Parts: sequence; structure tokens; C-alpha cells
Amino acid sequence: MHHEIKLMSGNEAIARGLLEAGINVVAGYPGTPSSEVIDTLLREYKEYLDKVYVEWSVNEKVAAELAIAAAWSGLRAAATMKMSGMNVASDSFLSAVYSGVTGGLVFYVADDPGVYAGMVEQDTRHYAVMAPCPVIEPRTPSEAKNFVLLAFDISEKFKIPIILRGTTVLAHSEEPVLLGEIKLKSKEPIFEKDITRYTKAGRKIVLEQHKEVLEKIEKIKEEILKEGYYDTFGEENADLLVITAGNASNYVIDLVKEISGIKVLRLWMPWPIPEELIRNHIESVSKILVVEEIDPIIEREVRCILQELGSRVKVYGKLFGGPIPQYDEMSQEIILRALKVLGLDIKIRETHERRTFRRLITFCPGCPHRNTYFALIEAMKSLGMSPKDTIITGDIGCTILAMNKPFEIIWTELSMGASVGLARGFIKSGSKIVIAAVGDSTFFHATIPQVINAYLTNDNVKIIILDNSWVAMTGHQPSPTSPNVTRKVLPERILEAIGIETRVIDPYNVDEAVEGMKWLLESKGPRAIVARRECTLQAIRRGIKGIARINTEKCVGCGVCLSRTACMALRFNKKERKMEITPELCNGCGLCAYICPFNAIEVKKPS
Amino acid sequence: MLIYAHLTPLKSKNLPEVVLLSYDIVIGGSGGQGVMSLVELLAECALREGGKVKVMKYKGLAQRGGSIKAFLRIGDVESPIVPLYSADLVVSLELAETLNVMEYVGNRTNVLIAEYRMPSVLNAMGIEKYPENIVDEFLHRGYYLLPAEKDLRENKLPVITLNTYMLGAISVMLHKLISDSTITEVLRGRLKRLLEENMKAYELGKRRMTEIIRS
Repeated sequence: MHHEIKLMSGNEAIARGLLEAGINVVAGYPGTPSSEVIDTLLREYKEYLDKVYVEWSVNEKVAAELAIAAAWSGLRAAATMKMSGMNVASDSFLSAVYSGVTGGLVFYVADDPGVYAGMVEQDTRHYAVMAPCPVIEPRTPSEAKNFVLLAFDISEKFKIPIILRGTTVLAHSEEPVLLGEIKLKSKEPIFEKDITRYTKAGRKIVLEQHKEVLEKIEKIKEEILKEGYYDTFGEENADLLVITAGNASNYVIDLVKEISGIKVLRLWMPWPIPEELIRNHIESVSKILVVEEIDPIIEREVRCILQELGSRVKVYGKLFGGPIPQYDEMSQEIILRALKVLGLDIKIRETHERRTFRRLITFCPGCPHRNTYFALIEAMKSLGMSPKDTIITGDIGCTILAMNKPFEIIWTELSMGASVGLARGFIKSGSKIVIAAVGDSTFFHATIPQVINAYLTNDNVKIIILDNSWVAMTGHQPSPTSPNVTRKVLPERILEAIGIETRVIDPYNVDEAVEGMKWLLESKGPRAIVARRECTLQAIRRGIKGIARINTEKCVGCGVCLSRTACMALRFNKKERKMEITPELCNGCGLCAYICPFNAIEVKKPS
Repeated sequence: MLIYAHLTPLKSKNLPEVVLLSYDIVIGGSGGQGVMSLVELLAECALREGGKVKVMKYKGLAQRGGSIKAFLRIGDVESPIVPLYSADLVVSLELAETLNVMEYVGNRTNVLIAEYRMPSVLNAMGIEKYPENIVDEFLHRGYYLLPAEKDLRENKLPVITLNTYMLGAISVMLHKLISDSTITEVLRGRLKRLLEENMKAYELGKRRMTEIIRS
């Protein structure tokens, strides 16, 4: 047999694992660090897409329900999302766990310890405890691929959904992965009518389902012991036991090569943990250190089990002021410090002052959002409103970047769709006018109910939909307004159907955009603007390119164009005392030309 | 198990030879400079030489001109994360970006810096000053500063070849781990355009690094 080895990231390996597991249906919503699973399936494995149904859904709940129905029909199904997405999907997920599945159902959820992408340090494993369902946590890309196959086997054997937990390091680190065979076969979907299993209305039905799922968890614990779904290494009779899982265990494995006196128990599944497994590993032990990413899930369970066993082994970790901080990602340094607290002879190099070179996270050159926010500020000024003192609620995605320089006008970022939800709340709390700014994909994802409420109670909420036709921040996945979507959905049609007066503007036409914003702000009651212009990065990729040029005879080098836009394409040439434009970066958005008091910038707009 | 003898530090000849489990490289720079393709290329070279590799890419908001970094660990390690103050080689594709990867520099780390300046928008807007004074400090610390901007300009090479220029410099440091022929072979295989320019930049970086070490 041909054994191919390929350098793969955790997410690419998971995509491969799904195919090797004979997947039938995959659905998800983009979110860092989870997006590359579906990206990879759509980009690298096109030839299999006639046998596997792969979809970017409108939100995670939509994806979850698609996958659940497939698994109820006996097919193998997966849903992918970031941790925040699991909150959206959880309503359906938790119910599905009670009902169980006939085909394998794997939820790949990627957490972001250390906050590399923004949003809270949420630990998805809580959902496993809450559901209850098993959660499996690979530590390397190779293992991620293998664990996908194992996850399906466990899910089908015990007829229960399973969470595959990833973290940023697993998702975005790479190693050589041994590829297995892709065995896709089309299965006949069979969904058996069973009202007591697939509905929830009724105490008797639900209690029976709850009892059944609890029994499954006990059986899974037995399976973990029987099949040995854990690793042990280090010194057999050590006094200190380290219990660990996932990416965190990599640091431990590397450290025990150099440090003696440690025994390690690495869990493949951080939950559930069989009592027997802990009992079998604490004979010679007086201390346990628990090393895991984000919350003390394993630690709590181990403490419970030890209490039940009547053990006096002392547990160290994140709880009760333990040696490991409860926030930020795990690192070798944190573990070394913890081992030192536990009395091991370890030298730690003290950190000296950290210097950094700061790069502002702002809109790309040519970004239409920059023009939209600029037009809003211009309109506010001309109407005598103070852009500094008016509440503008923001939302998830590139549209949030107006929180940074040069605008600094976004006050809030809460969750998908919360721009309009919060805006209504501020109105009901006494604000006279609140502006809500949201991107196209975020609008479809979770903003429509809030808009309906805004209409119902006639709130003075001004909605700006910054429609760049892509889910840009996560790597340009399609949105319902994308040019490559055959059946488009346009936000203005939804807004008008609800009853909200709406205008569509092109942010590259700055005059028109300013007029549109004035129209938005002048009314009483809810109104909306759809600012439509494709994400500049995507437009350039498709050969749609504009350009601006400085007329050096007119330019006086005042720098207003730069200070008001913070556009990276603009530079001050010290020698000439004039502004310069980097042609590779500029896309002719026309904003600097609009601003220039000396008409020194000529623009060729993209067609 | 593969054990990688630590490459003799070029600066401190009196240090004892340390046997390490891995050779750790950290590469920093700004989004769009080619940090990710550089680490991918080095990983492929190391694999061809029979090494075990772990790569970590901190993509950040790369397309939006942010700071980015990547790790490559060659050897017998499980974690892709280079521990603080313990890299074998730290490379920065931009002068000031070196500050963002300094926390990986320890006593025996070789530091290669492209003397190439990409001021931030904050610098351009006059809100913050570009840290020009670090040049003297870096030289004083014994870091290798490669006159990348000057070399590329004098040889009429486009800025896009900066990462292959630095690859040339890196190849000098890695000659015991990865052979020159492996690098040029992988480089040729990966390049889709500007083949001639990139090969020229590679040779230029190699020559410059050799000169700096000799002096």
C-alpha cells in the first residue's frame, strides 16, 4: 500500500480524518481557529464533493441541525465551529444528546486559549459535562486525524454525539501526517419514526431520555478503561502524578524527558473520567498536578473522584489559588513554575521587561468599511451630532475595526448580532438615538430577530449593514451576498419586508455615502443603510483594481489624508515633503481624494 | 530517536557543545513579508533531510498588516511551541519587528535581522516613533544585521525577494542540518514566479552572511 506523508495543520488533518472516516455530511460556520476544516474540504478535496455534502451554513445552529438530522438518518455527520459558535448551536446540540444518534455525530469545536482571535476564553468541555456527552481532545495533528475516526466509532457504538475539542495551537500547528485511505460510500439514509426519542414535550419522555444518556456515560467510562483510551509514561513509582490532556500534554511530555520524579497520565478524553482509572494511578502518589487548557474541568473531576475514593492525595492545579493561572494559554514556563512550587529543583529564568513594536490593527487599504464609517462621521458632524458622544454599537468581524484609530467610534462588541440588540436596550434605557454597525454575514447569522423587535417597538435605532459580500476576517468564506452564490439573499429585501426603510449606498462613492448617512440619521424611528462594496482583497484577487495618484504639484504634504484614514497605502516622503501612494496596496477607494483640501489626489475607481 | 547536536554558536566559541533534543527557529515579521512561506520552506527542507518537524503559525490578522510570527522545531519534541529564551535561531524580516520576537532570545541564540524598515501606520501618522535606536543596541548584543534593503536595491531585486535573501543568510547558519543543495532544490520547486530574482537574492543573502561571520 502507498503510504503518503504530508505536512498538515491540525485543521487540515481533521478534514482528512473526516474523509478517511467515510463522512457523509459536514456543515459549519466560519470562526477562528476552526475555519480551515471546511476550507480544506472545499479547496483540497473537490473530487470527493459529489459523495460528501459540505456546507458553510448561515450560522452554527443551522449547521448543527443539518448534521443532527443526518446522524439521525444513520449517516456520519460533523459540524465545525469556534467556541462562541457552540453557544449558538448548543440549544439543538443538548437536545440531540438526549435523543441520541444512529449514525456517528462529531462536533468539532475549537477553543482559543490565550485569545489570539478575540472573544472570551470559553472552555467547550463544559458542554460535554452539561450535555452529558464524551469529549475527545487530540494533542497533535496526526492524532487529530486518528481521533476523528475514533470519535465516530465511539459515537456510533454508544449512539451519542461526541465533541472533538481543539485549541488554537492544535488547529494551527503542523507536522507530517501519515495519510490513510479515503473510503467514501454512499449510505441509504434511514430515519425511523420514534416520537418518544425525537421529541421533548412530556416529562415521561424526557426523563427516560435523560436516564438513558446517563447510562451511556457509565458505559463509556468502562470502555475507556477496557480499550485503554489514555497513556501513561514517566517514572512508574513517582511521588508526583501529572494528569493532562490535549495540547497541554505536549509540554508535559517534553518536560519529563528532562525532569525525573514525575509520572504522567494523559487522558484522550478529558470527560468523562472513570473513577477506576484514577484509583489505578495513585498508589505511589502523594501529589497530583493537573495540566489542561483553560478551565479546571479535569481537575474538578479528579478532586471529586479522590473524595469519593477517600484518598488523601493532594491536588494542585488552577482551583483554590493553585500554582497554575486560570486565564491565558498553557505554556512550558507555567508548568515549570508549578513544578517548582511542588518542590522540584527547577531553575527559572526571570522575565525581564518586554518591549514590543506595535502595529495598528485597522482597515486594509481599499477597505469599503473605512469609507462607510468616515461617511457616517461626516454626516453626524454636518447634522450637529457629536460622533464622540453618540453610542455606536459594533458587531463581530472586520466591521469592529472602527474601534481602533483613526475612528475609535465603536463602543461595544458583545456577540453575533448584538449590535442591534444592544442598541435597542440603550434606547429603552433612555438614549435618544443609537447607531448599530454590523457586517453582512453577521446580519444573516443572528441579527434579524433584533431588527424585527426594533420595528415592533419603533426604536430610534439606525442600522448600518456593511456588506462586503464575504466572511472576510476568517478568510473569505461565502456569505449569502457573495458573488459566487447562485441564490443570493440581499439584506435590503429582508429589512424592507420587516418594514424598515432602507437605502443602499456604494461607500466608494463618498458623496453619495455621506448623503445616505444623513438620510439615515435624520428620521425618527428605525432606518437602515446597506453599504455595499466587495471586500477589496477579494476584488483585487478577481482583477478588479483601482488606483489613486498624488499630483505632486498640488500636494503640500500636510498629511491630512493619512491622519484621517490611517491608510497603509499612504506615506510621507520626507525628502520631497510630499505624500506618496504605494500602488500595490491602493485600490482607489477614493477616500483620500475626498479628504484632500488641495485636490491633489486623482483617483481611478475600480470598475 | 534523532538527536540534534547543537550547531556550534558562531559568536561564543568557548561555550561547551550542548546536546539538544531539538533545533528551534523563530521567525518574525509583518503580514505579507513571507514569514509563513519561509517557515514552510524550511520545514520541507528539514523533512527532506530526514528530520522530525513541528511548525506553528501565528497568523494573526496578517492581511491587515499586523505583526506575525512562526516557529519551526526540528528534532524530537512534541510541542510546536518554542519555549521563552531558548530558541537556537531567531530571524526577523523587519528591523523593529525583532522586538516582538526578542523573548525567545537566550544566551546561545543566534539572531538574524533584515535591516529593512516597514514603519507602522502609527509611525507614519506621527503617533509613535519608529525605534531607530535599536540598531546600535542590536549590534552591541552581537546580533547579525543584514543590510537587506541596501543589497536588494543595489542588485535591482524586488522587495518581494527579501525572504529568500534571508533564507540565504539562514542557510549559512543551518549548514550542518540542511544542505545548500536541499534548500536550492526545494526553493526551485516552490517558486512559481521570479525564479531568477529569487535565486539571486538567495545567493546574495548567503554571501553577505558568510562575509559578516568572517569579519
